[in-house]
Amino acid sequence: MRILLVEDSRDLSEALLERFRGEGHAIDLEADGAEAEALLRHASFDVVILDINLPSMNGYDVLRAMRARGDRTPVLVLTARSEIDDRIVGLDIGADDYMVNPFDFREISARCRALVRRRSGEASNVFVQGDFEFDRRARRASLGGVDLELRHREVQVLELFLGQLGRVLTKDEVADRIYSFDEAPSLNAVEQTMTRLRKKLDGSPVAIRTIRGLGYIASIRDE
Amino acid sequence: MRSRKARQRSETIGARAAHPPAGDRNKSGARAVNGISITAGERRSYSLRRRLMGASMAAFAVLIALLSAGLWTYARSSANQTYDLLLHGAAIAILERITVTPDGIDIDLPPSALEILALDQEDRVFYRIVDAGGTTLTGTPDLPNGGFSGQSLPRQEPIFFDSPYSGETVRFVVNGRTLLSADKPQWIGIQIGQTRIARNAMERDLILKGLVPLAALSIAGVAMARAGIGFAMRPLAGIERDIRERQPNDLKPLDALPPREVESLITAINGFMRRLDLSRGQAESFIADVAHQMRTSLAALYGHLEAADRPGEAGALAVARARDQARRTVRLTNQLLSHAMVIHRADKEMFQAVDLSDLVRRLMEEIVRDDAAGGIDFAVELPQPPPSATVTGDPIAIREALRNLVDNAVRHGPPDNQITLRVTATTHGGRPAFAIAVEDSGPGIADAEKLKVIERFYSNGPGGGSGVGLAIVAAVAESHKGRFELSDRQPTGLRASITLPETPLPGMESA
Repeated sequence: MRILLVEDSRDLSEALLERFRGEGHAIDLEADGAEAEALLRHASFDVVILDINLPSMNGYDVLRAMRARGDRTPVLVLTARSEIDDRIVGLDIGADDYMVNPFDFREISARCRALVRRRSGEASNVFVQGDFEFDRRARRASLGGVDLELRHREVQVLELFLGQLGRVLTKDEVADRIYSFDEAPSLNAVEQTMTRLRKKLDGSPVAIRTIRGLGYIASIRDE
Repeated sequence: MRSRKARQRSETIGARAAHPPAGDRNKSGARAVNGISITAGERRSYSLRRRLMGASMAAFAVLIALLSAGLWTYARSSANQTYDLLLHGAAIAILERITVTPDGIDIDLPPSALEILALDQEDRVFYRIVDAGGTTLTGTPDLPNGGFSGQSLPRQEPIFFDSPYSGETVRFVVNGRTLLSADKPQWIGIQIGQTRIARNAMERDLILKGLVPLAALSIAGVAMARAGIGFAMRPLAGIERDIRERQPNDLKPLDALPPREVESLITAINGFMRRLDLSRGQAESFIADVAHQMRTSLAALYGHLEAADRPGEAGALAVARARDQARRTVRLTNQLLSHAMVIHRADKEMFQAVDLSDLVRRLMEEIVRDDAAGGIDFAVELPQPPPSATVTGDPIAIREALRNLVDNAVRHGPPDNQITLRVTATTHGGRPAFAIAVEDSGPGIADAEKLKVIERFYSNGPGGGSGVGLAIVAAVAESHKGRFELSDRQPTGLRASITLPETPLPGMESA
């Protein structure tokens, strides 16, 4: 991963640099908001870790400027607990995720990986995670090179969930997305499809969990 | 080293707030500097003293204006009366010296008559004598005949009038007398005019003599009103001095015996100080608790790190422990900040309509994301059929409370925990409310412990947390005028339930 860390606290940024470099990522540091903004205009990164309290230009303005010029690089915002109001604003103006400072260092690298994965899944036609592959165009999924032999509806559901990782989808929402107006949407059929799909995905990094009474959430298991 | 560096940082906040260099900045300090709000152009306050003085001076002014008008009328009429008497006297004196002789009318102007009128050197005197037909017999013929014209004769009583003549206002008197001559009675009239200089001088003199004591009276009145107001306001100044001279931490009630008019104000101030004292006491104990917790936690961390130098297994174990301790410290810090935030937001009453279904849904997304192992069976029960489960409240505080309840359920439960979030419509204090219950299949809490766990920094069980989580939940319930309770779940587990009224206060429906 190529990461830009925008953080003006030296203690924190040194620790983060060490951590990410230790994991084998290319990470650059920028301590000034305006300079980070200028850098982002010319260089591209896989993920940006953005502090909010920055000299010369705050993190929200940096983020707003990025989104205004159509830069969709995933952004993970670091906020203090007292700015918890602000973090909602951060998500509203286009942050992809946030972490409350102080945070767990293992957590932040996991979140970064998740963000990059989510974005790469959107960008190309092939979603790859470990030995799992999903080819949107060919409409087939394979695990360790072996075709999972998904049926038409299962492919639709898988595509839907891979596009909505980490989001709750209710049974109704799933039915709405995979049945046309002509077909009678049956919640029972959705359940059966989900059960079959989950069985086929068993052993893959993609997990679709049931929240009884609410719906389903898909997530990617790390490593 | 660390602590000295931190101190240096905070000392230079002020300088850097304007021009912060990159990479080294105390964030909370910067926030505080930004947070100072200078309220320019504050509302102008009015002065009670000035108002009272204004009102009493206005009253005095009206009174003095009325008195002056009366004085002026009086001075004018008494000056007129005095000089009219002289004028009339002169007229009579002249009339008496007019006699009828066989040759006609004999007019012998007595010098004394005109001398009377010449008391004032400046004044000029005019006269003429007329007969019944209005013909001037002697004197100045062109005097204005304002009061007496041909038809109103003969006349015995004098008439007085002012009329302009020879460029001045002149006071005239007209008087007549019927002379008994041989053949028939004959009327003879005299008109005397005198300029008003002496009269006006006397009028002015009278006005002046009246005004001087009046002015003195007014000044004395204003001075006394001022003194009276000052005297009446003195208790207020005493109260002000009492408050001003206090030490910042002296919150004893004011012991001034206030006048009735400000008694309720003083009672309110005292009530406010009592509340301030209470909340300061709570804040002090909170800070003391926090300091103790942080110190303990950091001391433990430091201890583990010291031991990490040891070779072999012991060192590795110490590092693992240090990591664990650091994680606990982070969690404790976050919980404390969350607690402080919930309290702070409760003070500001950031209430709005909160859709509980939506909130629960987002919360589940967050929790599932953090539940790495994925072994927990989550369930959500929303009111059926789904009407909008909406309460008026602070969404962030409610979310923090629920997050803490679920975190507790995760921490204290088995790996195959069953956690249910249940939103049900209920009532609280006779008003519609929603209860949000979080149930787990953990070991539960013994009845004797149930009250204690809500207290700050009380933590039990092997998975014991920071001891702040449930205090946060209780604070949120309190700030929403709701209720927080712990009960047992059958066959095993704990049910933690927070009940939030749909509207925390009557009359806040549209908040």
